[in-house]
Amino acid sequence: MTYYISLPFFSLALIVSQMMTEDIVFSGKIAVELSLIVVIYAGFRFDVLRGGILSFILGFIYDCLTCPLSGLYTLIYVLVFLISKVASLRISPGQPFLIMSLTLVCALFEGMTIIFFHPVLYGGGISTHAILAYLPQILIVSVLSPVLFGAFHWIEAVLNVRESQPVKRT
Amino acid sequence: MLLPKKHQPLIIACLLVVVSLIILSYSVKKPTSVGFFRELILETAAPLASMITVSVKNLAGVWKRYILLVGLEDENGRLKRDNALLIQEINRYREGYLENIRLQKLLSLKERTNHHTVAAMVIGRDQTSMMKAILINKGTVHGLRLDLPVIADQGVVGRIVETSAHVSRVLLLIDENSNTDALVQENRIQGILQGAASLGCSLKYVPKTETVSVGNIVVTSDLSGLFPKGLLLGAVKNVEKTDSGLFQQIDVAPFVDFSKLEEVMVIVLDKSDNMGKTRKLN
Repeated sequence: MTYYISLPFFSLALIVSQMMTEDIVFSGKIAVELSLIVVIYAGFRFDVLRGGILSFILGFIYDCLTCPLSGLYTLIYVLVFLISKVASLRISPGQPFLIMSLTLVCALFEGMTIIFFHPVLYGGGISTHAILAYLPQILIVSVLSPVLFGAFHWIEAVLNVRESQPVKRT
Repeated sequence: MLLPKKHQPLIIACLLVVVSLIILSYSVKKPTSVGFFRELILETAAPLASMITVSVKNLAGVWKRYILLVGLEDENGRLKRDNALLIQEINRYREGYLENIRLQKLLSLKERTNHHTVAAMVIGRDQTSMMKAILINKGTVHGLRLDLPVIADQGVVGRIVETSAHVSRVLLLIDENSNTDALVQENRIQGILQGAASLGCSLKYVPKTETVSVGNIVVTSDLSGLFPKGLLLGAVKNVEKTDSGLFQQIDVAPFVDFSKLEEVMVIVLDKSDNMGKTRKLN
């Protein structure tokens, strides 16, 4: 239950931190979408209910804070989670190259979905320049994904140890 | 859960996709509608974002200050060196300015004096308990000789007691061996001004019958021919008439501050006026 209660706060903190990092470190020129990697990681580590709700909430908050339309990133993240869940049947998180490839595919899927919805969002087609600017971001996220998978795994392990520690009698 | 366990994941996945599509279609249909949850998230995110921005800005400020400090040490050293040089330069200018003022006073004194004068610089002080004298950087080469009077812009300094080619020793008025013919300017009473070291001078041999007041000016008389008449010596600061003895006890404060002398003027009198002899300095 703690997981579901803390999920909105964690998601909000993650998205805000991600946005601030993009804004301060990269001056808004490059968006390193950590939330996408979290969703992919959830596909490997969580069951459909936990991971699905995590993706849904992350996507919804991302929508609220960055997208003029509600539901777009919610849908994308839920679909990415499902793709990742299906991929996890064949791929192990310990295979960095495959994780990078999966992240690349998911990021491309996200990009294509946004391009598809772009006329609805902004009333016109996306420019070639925007697509070219999006490509390095996809590559950066893909390259970072194995490292971040390791980091997430470590955080998860730390949290699980804390949760499973028995209360000492005094 | 009420869902069949076998199809539970599939049903949850479909449910999530459907809910997402509903939200999306609703949002496309009514793009202007903000929605309660959207507003709630925006309101919650704003202070969080603001907190992160402020923290990062503060960190960036600290970092910038650190970077600034790295260069600051070198700059500080350079500025200190520049400052020391500038202080030296200012000091040179100040010294030059003060010297100019003193020389102007000497020059005006020279213009007031009818005699030939030689300007000299004080190069040493011999103001021990035994002797109160100064050394000046002019000697026989410059026309100086024994017993020539030495003056400053405030008044008489003393007389030359030893001289060599380029250096002369001047016995100050306050030396206990210094005896100068003097007279009180107001009532022309004659006396001998004798040095009294740290007490200044005392005017000797003034009879009790004469009236001398505190503040009276004492000037040189030309009885001995050593000093031209009328040069300022000092002012009377104390007069005592004791019961015993014939003379008054008169203390005189010299006008010249001997501890601050830097430039002096030697009055070169004619030999007929001054019959002193020249003695070589060791």
